[in-house]
Amino acid sequence: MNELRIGVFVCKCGSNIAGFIDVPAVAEYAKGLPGVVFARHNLYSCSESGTQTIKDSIREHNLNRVVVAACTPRTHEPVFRAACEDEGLNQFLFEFVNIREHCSWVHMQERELATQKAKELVRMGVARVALLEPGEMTEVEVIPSALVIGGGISGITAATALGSMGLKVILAEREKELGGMLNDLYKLYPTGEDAREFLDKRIKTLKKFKNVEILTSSEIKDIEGYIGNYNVIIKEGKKEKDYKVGTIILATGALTYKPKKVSKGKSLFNYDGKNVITQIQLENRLIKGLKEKKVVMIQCAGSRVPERIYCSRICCMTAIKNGMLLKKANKDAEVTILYRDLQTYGTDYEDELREAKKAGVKFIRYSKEKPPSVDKKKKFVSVHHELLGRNIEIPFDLVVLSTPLIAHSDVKKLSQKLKVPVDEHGFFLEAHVKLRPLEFATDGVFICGCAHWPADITESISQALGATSKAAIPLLNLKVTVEPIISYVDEEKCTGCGICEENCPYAAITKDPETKKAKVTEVICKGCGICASNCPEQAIDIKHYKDEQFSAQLKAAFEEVKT
Amino acid sequence: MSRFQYPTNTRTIRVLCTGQVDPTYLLKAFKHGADGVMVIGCRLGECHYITGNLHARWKVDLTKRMIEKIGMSTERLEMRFISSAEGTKYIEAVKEFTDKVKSLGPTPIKSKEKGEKIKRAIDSLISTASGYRIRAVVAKIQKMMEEGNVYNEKIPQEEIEKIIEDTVNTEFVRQSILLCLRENTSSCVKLSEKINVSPDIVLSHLSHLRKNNLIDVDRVEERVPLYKVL
Amino acid sequence: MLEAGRHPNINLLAYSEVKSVTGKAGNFTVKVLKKARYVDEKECTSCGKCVEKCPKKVPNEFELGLDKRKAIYLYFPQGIPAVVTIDTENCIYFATGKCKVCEKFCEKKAIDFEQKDETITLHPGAIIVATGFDMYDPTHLSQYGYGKYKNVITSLEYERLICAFGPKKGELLRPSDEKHAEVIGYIQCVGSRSLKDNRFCSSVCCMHATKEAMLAREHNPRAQSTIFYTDFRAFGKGFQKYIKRGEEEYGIKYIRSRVAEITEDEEQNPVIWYEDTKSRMVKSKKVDLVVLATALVPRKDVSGLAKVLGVELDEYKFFKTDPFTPTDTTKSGIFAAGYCQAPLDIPECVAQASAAAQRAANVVLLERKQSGQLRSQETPARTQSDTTSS
Repeated sequence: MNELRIGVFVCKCGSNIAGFIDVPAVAEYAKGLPGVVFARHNLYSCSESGTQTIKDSIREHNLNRVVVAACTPRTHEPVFRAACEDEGLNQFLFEFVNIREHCSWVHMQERELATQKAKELVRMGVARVALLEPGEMTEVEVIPSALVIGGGISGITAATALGSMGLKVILAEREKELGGMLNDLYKLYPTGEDAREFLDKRIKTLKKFKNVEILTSSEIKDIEGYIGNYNVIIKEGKKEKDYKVGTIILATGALTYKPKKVSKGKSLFNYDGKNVITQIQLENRLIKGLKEKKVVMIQCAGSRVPERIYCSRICCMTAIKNGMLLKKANKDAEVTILYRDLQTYGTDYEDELREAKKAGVKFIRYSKEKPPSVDKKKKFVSVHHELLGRNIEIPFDLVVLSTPLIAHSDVKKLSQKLKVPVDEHGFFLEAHVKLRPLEFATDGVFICGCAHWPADITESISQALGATSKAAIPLLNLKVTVEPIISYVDEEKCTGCGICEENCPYAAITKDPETKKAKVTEVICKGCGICASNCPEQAIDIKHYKDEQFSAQLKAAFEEVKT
Repeated sequence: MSRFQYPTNTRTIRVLCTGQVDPTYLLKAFKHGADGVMVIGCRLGECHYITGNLHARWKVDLTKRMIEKIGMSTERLEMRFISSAEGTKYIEAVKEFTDKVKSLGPTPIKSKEKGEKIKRAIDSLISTASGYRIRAVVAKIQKMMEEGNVYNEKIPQEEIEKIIEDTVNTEFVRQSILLCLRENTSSCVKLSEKINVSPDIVLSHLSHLRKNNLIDVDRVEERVPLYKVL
Repeated sequence: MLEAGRHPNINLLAYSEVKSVTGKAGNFTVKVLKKARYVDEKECTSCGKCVEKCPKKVPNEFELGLDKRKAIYLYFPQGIPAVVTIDTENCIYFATGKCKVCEKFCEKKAIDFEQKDETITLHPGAIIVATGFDMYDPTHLSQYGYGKYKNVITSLEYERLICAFGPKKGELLRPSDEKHAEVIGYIQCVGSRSLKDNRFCSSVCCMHATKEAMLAREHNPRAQSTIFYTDFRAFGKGFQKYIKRGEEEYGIKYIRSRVAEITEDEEQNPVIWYEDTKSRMVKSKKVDLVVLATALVPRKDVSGLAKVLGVELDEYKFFKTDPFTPTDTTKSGIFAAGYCQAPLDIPECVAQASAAAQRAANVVLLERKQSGQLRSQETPARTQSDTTSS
């Protein structure tokens, strides 16, 4: 290695630092540290003249490492890195030491001790910078096309949106035709639009885009690769074909839970698919016209119970909508909805609930301890009426169970292929519940619609457009840039035990099938270091945060170093 | 702009994620003279890098068990989970920890009589923490907690802790033996005295080490075999 | 927030007002009034010296008046841009022509009393409205006694109290006597789901109350929380599990009820009178503190903005959107995201914001294509930080 020529710049930050720390003394101390050939203090290092001084000094003193001791890297690190680059010094040979938030501001009454601490922080920074290595930003080219898996309303919306942005799209649907769950619906809330017409309109718009390739009766056979460069094998009908895409949107939807039919006795609320049916079966019958007059609906049928603790979000509204449709079709219809908590959130749903009450739909609350029971022989539903304090019997022609949406049974397969997680119920698990609802920890794969969680049509469309927005960014930029703060594997030491692969939250490290060694996919690695600290052979290190760099910093934290 | 004041005797080392915290880093900090070491990660369930803090938790747990072996108080090491928006919580944690460490007094490394010995003990801890077995065990824990073992059995936390404890015990004795033998050839009884472990346990480790070609019998003196490092 | 502040393609105009919008999708002309801060944004490092020295104290609106700020101030500590502002209504110099203490102590010479309001003209292709909500003022709902009883507070006031860097440093001290509040009652649907006030359901308060109650227990193991609710709305991902945890691990009591009135005993403890809708009995509960889950409503100045933009509002004054094009307003090229168009929780807002971004990008891309400007090489590079930090 070339001779170390470290320059140290200690910032006064006006009086923010200088007011509580003897800044010139810190700079003076830095001069005596190993490898330091130049040290000075600035009034404001971040100012125009401050950065100019740094640049001039790099040139004049032929510096090959720079330390700035100032404020937080959150705000000014890019400025100083740029200054280094301007003088031809690699930006990763720069180290920022925070002596403001970590020192002057938090030790305002202890000038001497604070000064001592600042010196030691600089000492640690110098020890670290000496071992830093230059790094380059990596650019990875992106194939400008997307794969949308699932052709329900979410998938149709996403494919249409991507298509309208001029991007190439492959939309893969497993059924014979597009539409998903909408195919089974009757009329849509709140517009009252016919589901079929609505769907046809949307599919027609989608088909206008020449750049969207629609595959029906298709199956994803295999997916390999990473953001920008996925290789997907899709079987359509009988033929298999290879597709290359840059990003992937998951819009695989969900199923409605259908209770098991049991010959004797004990199915859920005596479900039989004839007189006791599910909401989706009701929608189907509504299309043909319904004869039954007395309809009792039971909410939370199979949800909010120990084996399926979640609320399926859309069933209350579905029940109210269908209750209203029944009432509208037949004034004499008697509709009773047995519920636990009505989830009519937001504006329109609340109004619809009030309308339904006005129209004569009866609402009776039941508690989970005393659920209703369906007597098919006597044709009544018995339920404990809380306000009356006793059981009442409601006669019925038809019982409709509001069963929850559940995940597809084969969701695990897809999740393993894409290396993205699913939750305990089989819904895809997003990167962050609040801040990144449409993304996964692994870059390049996005999620929308009921595959993520039960959602109504409006919500599915929102999410589909949002996922499109995220998926389109790399496709339009045609590249992804990565900072070189990522892990790398010493192949000599690696024994291919696979522990790193098991634990990587980003699916960025895998065992190479040929070499049997761990291999990092640089573009998706975030440098968290879990692989490094877990590697039994200590074969993995993080660039820019290497073992030896930490060790030097740790030593300098507690021991005086000699030149 | 909060600018809450806290004691000056703390030094911060930045890691991208506590997921990278390696037991060897923590031990090195003690070796170089830290009176206490605190690992601060995101709040549980809110790790910026998804699962890093969960992994760190086990590394800290392991290191605590290790320093306990050499007679250092486990209270000198602590992990806290604080979000970047919780300035006051951070300050409180630092203050509390500083007070606690102060009450424990300076690190035994600085003691004139015992210092060198403890430093050597930490060295053997560092090699223990660098060993394959212990690292593999700790690395597997998080997954075991989440998904159970290879037979899909969920393992209770106590059992996992026992696995760590046993591994630490075994590996630490083996590393101590190796360290002693590196200095001088020695017999089972002498080793037992030196590292304060009963002779039969030392013997079992000696035979394990011998089987793995790490040591061998150097010579036999008065019918007592003396071992050497290979 | 920090990320938005740092993004090279984002020009942040804080402390500004949209004054006029003309043109059409793909080519709008927008005039924005950038109000004078009397501080040079480029120079100010928000070191805080001026704030420390400013002699004038006024109630802090960010902390809902629970503590004081100065006449020169940073709206809140993590605010972006991190630049101080002089509040001319309270500044001594603006009132009397004397003082200028801030100017004297500013080392960067960033204080500029001569600064003027500026009108900036922008030419965006598309516009996204994301103006959020206001908290409903429950003062006129006299049955709850807000404003009359000191220990009846709103959920947002509670947030500030329990916030670790808030005015009480996270100690849940009740306003009347600064005693630790241990028995806490949370009242849901205050001003919402009501024909007299707001008909809609604010959608987020049930979960918010549960979180508040959990925090109370985390801050004080003796805390006992009771939530008085109408229908418990926990329909989002993982919400049912969350309330179950609330019940089992945090000992939160959920009572389905209608709260009729709140009174106060001689020690200023609020007493909640409610009808238990399960047993139909009228009961009462004495608590240390009452937290009102007040409705989240459209911002009061939203009609003016809608007029400037030329878009319609719905009957509740949310920006009107179509259920099946959920981010499109009634005017082409103008989109709405978040609570300003309907009650939503955070993940829904975030998802919808991305949706609006897609719709807006579409307009801009189309416009560029038509004018032949789209050359992908020119689009700014995406860096890793775009996706890693949040």
